Amino acid sequence: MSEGKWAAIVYGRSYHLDFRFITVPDNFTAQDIQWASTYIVATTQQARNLAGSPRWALFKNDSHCVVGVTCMVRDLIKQSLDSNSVNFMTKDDQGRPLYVFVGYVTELNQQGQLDDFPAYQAANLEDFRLLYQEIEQVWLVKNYERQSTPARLSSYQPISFSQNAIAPKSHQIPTLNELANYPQKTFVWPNLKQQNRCLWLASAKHSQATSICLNIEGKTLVNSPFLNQSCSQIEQFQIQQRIATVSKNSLTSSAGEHEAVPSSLSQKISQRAIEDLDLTLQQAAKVATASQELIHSFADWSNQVEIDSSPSRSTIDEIESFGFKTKKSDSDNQDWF
Amino acid sequence: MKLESIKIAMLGTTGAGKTSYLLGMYAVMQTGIQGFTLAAKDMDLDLELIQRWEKLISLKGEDRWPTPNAAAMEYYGFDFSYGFRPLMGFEWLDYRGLALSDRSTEQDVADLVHYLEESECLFLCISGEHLVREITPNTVREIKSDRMNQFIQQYVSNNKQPNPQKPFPVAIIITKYDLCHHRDKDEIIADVKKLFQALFTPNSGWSVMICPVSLGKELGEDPENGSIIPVNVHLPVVFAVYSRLNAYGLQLEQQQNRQTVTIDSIKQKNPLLQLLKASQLQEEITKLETSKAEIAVVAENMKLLAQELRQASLYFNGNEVTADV
Repeated sequence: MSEGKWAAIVYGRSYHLDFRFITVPDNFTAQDIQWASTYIVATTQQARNLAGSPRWALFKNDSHCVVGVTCMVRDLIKQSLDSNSVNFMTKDDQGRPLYVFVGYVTELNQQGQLDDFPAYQAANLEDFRLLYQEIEQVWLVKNYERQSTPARLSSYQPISFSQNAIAPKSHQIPTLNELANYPQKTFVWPNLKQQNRCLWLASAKHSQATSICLNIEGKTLVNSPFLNQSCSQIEQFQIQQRIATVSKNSLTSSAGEHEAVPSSLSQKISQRAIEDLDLTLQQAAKVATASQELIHSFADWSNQVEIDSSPSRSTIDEIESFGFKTKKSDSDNQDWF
Repeated sequence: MKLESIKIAMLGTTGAGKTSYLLGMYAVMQTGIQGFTLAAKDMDLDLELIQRWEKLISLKGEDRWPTPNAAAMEYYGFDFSYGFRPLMGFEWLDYRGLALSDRSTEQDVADLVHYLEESECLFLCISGEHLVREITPNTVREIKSDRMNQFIQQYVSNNKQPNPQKPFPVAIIITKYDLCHHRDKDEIIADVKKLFQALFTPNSGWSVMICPVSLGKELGEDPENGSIIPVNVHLPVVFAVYSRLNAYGLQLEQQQNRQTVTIDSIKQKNPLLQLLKASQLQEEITKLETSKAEIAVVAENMKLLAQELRQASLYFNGNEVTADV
């Protein structure tokens, strides 16, 4: 059973400074921060689709569970501030509309299940609105100020959420992908409100390490750590590759791993024959080279023409100027525009 | 002729205008310049970039500009073609990560180092808003040119060891040039040179382009409603391709020199040995002709691109140069 205490976690951009962790739980190690950041950054893909469609994320490992939303700041705070403040607090110094991840972290017990947690409420972000205060406190901080460097630390406290999730009937609970099952796959559901509620609950109640991102407007999150997603471009449940591209290095190493070691006698014989042939060819090549050298010596002896094999000065000049010529006049020194 | 893919690293602090630049560049290059076109390898990416560009040119008001990116780096794969025949691939990595800032961690730095070590061309983005007036020590902090210089020295210069025979291309892109175009061009060049002095030293092997780009002249006055008419956004890509062709051309010329020397040495031998080496001679002559034909193709392509590069300021080994084959 979860102890029901939660600590704030906030990742966002302030007026002058770039995206960073603004607040993290006081017991989070660098490793925990790294773990959380991979999920949080993944929820920001195609951020232009966030307006009116906040993404709900839940991810847990053996020790912590994070629940939160990635949304446009305007959607988060519009009901709590007057229009002038909203206008000022929702854009950065370049005038770009801002988005943010706001959430809570709880420590998990051995069962890994949550009992008291915020319900999935689609566009209603009431349970997370208060967390924007964390950004307000550093809103105008500049790069050189001391407050810009470390994230603020939050402590675990009991929180009463506006609406606790109600457990669905057992037949409504979908089968989730978990880390122990298909770590390279992601289960993708259509973005339906009722189903999202069930998925949210199922993830919270799940006893194993798992992750889910719901209400994704547009395409699925690619190359993301999420094992489960719901997205508007999907009409039917699908199982997709979690990592879309495989790097060249990993291809090479996997090819290396699969390189067959000859096992049968016939394979060994043919392998040996190939090696012998290679050796013969190498020796033949050496003999040919030696003969060439002999012929060269004979030629040098009979024809005492010295040939300078290095390129002439004019050739070097040509190489240096290939593609670029020194600018001779300011005749084309026109305005750039 | 199909050249190997080129990896481009684009560095710039947040808000420098990298995403908007990329969208503008893609829109212009998709239509084409002198028959050269750029297309995303992934059709989904192509659609996404077009949609984002259309939003930018159609919308007025604060929502027209792209949202800032939270991810430290973004990857884009493009094909650069001439007459729709692929000439080379582009692997474009857009880095705005914290390694450039004062709040970087070891992981941020490791990511950027890995990223730089693989790159064959650098795009350094600096926003015109920092060049509105003569630079001050504060400009260095805002642009993060000090951090950029440090990374260039540690991981590009030491790793790639550029020299006059093997130059390394760097495009210094002045984004949002509409904000500073009231200043004299030479003053801006002088400021940029001060920010990246090492790239302009004699015989250093750096091939540098200073290129102002803008999405529209009116945007400096009215970013929310000004017309979007891109200026020069294609030039950095043209420079990257020109540099790659230049490197290939240099390689071919060196190869041609070696082939000429071999042929001359065979021709100067006595008739008996010439007879013995007749097949080798023929083979070398064929190779030489192939090299010459390839150089001609390279030079032809470079000539087309060189016309475009006249609009930018180019430097090679510290001297101002023009693109000319």
